[in-house]
Order: sequence, then C-alpha cells, then structure tokens
Amino acid sequence: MARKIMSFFAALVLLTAIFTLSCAAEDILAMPSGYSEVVDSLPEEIRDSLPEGIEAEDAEGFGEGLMELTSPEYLFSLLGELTYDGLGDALRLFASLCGVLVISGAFSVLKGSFRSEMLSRVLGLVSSCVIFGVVIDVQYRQIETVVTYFERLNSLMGATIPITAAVYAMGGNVGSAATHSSGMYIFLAFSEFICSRTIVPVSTITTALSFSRAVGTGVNLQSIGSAIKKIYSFSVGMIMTLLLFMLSTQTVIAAAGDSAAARAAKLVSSSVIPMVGGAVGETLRTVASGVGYLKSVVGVGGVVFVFLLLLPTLITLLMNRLAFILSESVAGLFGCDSEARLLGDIGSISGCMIAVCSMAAVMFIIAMNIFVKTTVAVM
Amino acid sequence: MTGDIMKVCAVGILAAVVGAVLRIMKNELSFAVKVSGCVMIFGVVLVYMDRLLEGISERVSLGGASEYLEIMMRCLGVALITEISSSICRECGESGISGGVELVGKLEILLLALPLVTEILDSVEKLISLGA
Repeated sequence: MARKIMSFFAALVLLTAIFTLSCAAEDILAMPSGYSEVVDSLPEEIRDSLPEGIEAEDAEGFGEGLMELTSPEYLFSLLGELTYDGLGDALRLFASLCGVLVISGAFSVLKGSFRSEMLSRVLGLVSSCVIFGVVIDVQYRQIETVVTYFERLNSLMGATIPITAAVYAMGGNVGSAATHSSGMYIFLAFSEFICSRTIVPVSTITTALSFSRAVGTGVNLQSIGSAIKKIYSFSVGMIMTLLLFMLSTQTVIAAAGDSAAARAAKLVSSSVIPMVGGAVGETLRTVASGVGYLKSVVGVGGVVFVFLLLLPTLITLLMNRLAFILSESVAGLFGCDSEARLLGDIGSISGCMIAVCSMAAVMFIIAMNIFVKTTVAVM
Repeated sequence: MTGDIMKVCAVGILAAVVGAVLRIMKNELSFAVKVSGCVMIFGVVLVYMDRLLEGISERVSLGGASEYLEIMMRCLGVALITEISSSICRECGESGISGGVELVGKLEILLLALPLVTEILDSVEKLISLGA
C-alpha cells in the first residue's frame, strides 16, 4: 500500500514536471502589439534609414537595433547628412538675399541723389518689397515644416501612449499606467491644440509687424512684435513646466502605491500558498526584470524617435536663422538699414519657432524618461 | 573710366557756361543748350548703368533672384528718367510740369512693382490658409 502511494506521488510529480508550461520572462520580452504603428508614424525618409533591428518583434532584437541607432557612428552620420542638406539650402537663401541686398545697396546710393523725396521713398518701398518677397517664401516653407513636425510628433506620441500603458500594467504599475497615460494625453492635447495651432498665427503676425516696420510707415510696431514673441515663448515654456511637474509628481506617488500593493500581494501569496508560495516571489522577480528591460527599450525607443523627428526640423530652422543673421550683417554693411531690420526680425521669428519645437520635444522626452525610471511594482 | 568722367564734367561745365552766356544774349537758345547738355550726360548715365547692371545681374542670377532683379532694374531706370526729366522741367521754370512728370514716374514704378506685390499677397494668402 505504501509502495502504491509512493508510486502515485512519484508519477504525479513526474507528470507535473512534464506538462507544466514553462513560465518564464521570455514571453514578456515580445514587443507589445501596436508598436509597429509607432514605427510607421515616423516619416518615410527617417524610416528608410533605421537599422533592421528596429522592426524586430522581440525586445532583444529591438534593443540591439536601438543600440545601433544610438551609436555615435549612426548619430553623427545622420547629423552630418542633415547638416549638409540644410547648409546647401541656407547658402542658396543667403546667396539670393545677398544678390538682392547688393541691388538695394545700389538703390540706396542712387536714391540719395534724387531731389524728389517721394521718388526715393518709392524706390525704398520697392527694395523692401523685393526683400520681403524672398523672405516670405522662405517663411512659408519654415512654418509648413513646423506644422508638419507637430503633426508627426502628435501622431507618434498618440501611438506610443497605449504601448506605455500596457507595459506599465504588465509590471503591476496599474495606478502609474492610468496616471501616466492621462498626463500624456494632456501633453498631447497641449501640443495639438496650443503649440501647433498658435505657432502659425504668431509667426504670421510677427512677420507682418516686421514688414510694416521695414517699409517705414512711420508707426513703429517692433516693440509689439518682440513682446508677442517673448510672451508666447514664456507662456508655452511655463505651461510645459507645470505639466511636467504634474506628471512627475503624480507618477511617483502612483508608482509608490503600486509598489506597496504589489509587495503586500507577494507577501500574502508567499505565506498562504503552500509549497510553491516561495517560488511565486522568484517568478515575479524574473517577470519584473523582463518588464524592466521592455520598459527601457520602449522608453528609450520613444525618446530616440522624438529626437529623430526633431532633428531635421531643428537643423532647417537653425540654418535658415544663420542665413538671416548673416544677411542682416551684409545689409548693414551696404547701408540698407530697413532691410537689415527686416532680416533681423525674421531671424528672431525663426528663433521663436526653434524654441517652441524644442520645448515640445523635450516635454515628451522627459515624460518618456519618467516612464523608464519608474520602478516595476512587482520587483 | 577716368577719361569718361573728365569728358562728362567738361560737357557739363561747358553746357552750364554756354547756357549762362546765352541767357543774356539769346534766351531761347539757352534752353536748347541746357537740354542738350542734360541729354548727353543722361546718355552717359545710361551706359554706366548698363555696365553696372550687367555685372550685377550675372551674380544675382546665380542666387536665383533674377526676376526680382529685373523689377528693381526697371524701377531704377524709370526713377532715373523721371528725375532727369523733372530736373530739366524745373530748370526751365515749369514746376507744374515737373511735378506731373514725377507723379507719373512714381505711378509707373508702382505698376512695375505690382507683380511683386501680387506674389507677396499670394504668399500671405497661403500662410493664412496654413493657419486655418
């Protein structure tokens, strides 16, 4: 009888060992479904230059692709390529402006010899209109670039938010998932409805004010234009700072609560479940390390994608700003004061656009860093 | 170049002196001499402007602003012609005609700049539609 009982238990243990499904952290390391949408939301020119590992379905393969993407060779080659293209366009712009400024300089010299003041002023108006004609075309393309950038950024982050929520939940950070997701949706709404909708009117109004100053209508609206730019940049920065403060504090508190709840549950399971209760803790720790790795690759991937979106726009705006600053100096050399003022004002509008684009990207980057740094609850 | 300016100065001084002398002797001839002097000097101005513009247009066409250059050059040409014509009229004591010539000159310049203004307004319209 005793032998039968012993045989029965031996068979039971053997069968359990054979038919127990392997429960490991390997399944956790598959990239969350829907991550391919995040990659698809990147512009085609960036997607084509991504390493192959980025499209891997497992976290390890994606992590390797990410390592290659963040390598100095890749980043500097991308930076060099974008700078080379941007510099070419900026030099063409500078050459056009210099050519027009040379003629404006000749205008200034000749119109000074006219007895008729009105004739001189009409020539000055034509000269300013020519400069403005060159500048407004560039300004339109810059604003279009910024609008496209915000559309892509919003699309990217809109696809990333459900992914981060899913990864949070996998690690037991249920409260953090809800808090972080709601915070990110507020960020998205701010980026979509405030940044991308206000940048065009602000840039257009300040451009118009610069032109009115350049043609010498007698009304100096330059101070109003400067005030608009400063107030706009300050307001956007202030709101972003507040939103980041809100997100970081709420996520920290939610994560602490999730961690406390998870530890309590682990203690209870270890104490109550007989025989295998102690193994539950070890299993959870293995799962947590897998989730932590997944969190890192998803979070860093999000940061890198935001950076890749920002880089072309930033370089274009910076190069154009450089062209305007150099042209302003050339205009001053030729004695074209009104043209120099116009070019200086247009350059500062580019600076405002650079500030808003960078702030939006930094806001999302810091939010993704908060996501990466939040500890897994079941650890 | 130095020879040309010497010749122009000589023609200008000669026209002024002869004109002043003829004003005392035969006033009607004085006007003809002054106008002839102005026309000759204006001719030299046109030749100089042509050389200057040819040199600049070669450079500017590389920068891609040639259409704007053409507008500016035409405006400058109209301004020069207007200025010289109104000066001659003023010199002859006809300030009313001088004012009329200047007014037409300004309108002509504004008309020449009209395509440029139209282009600017189109760009502004595109900007407004981008914001909408």
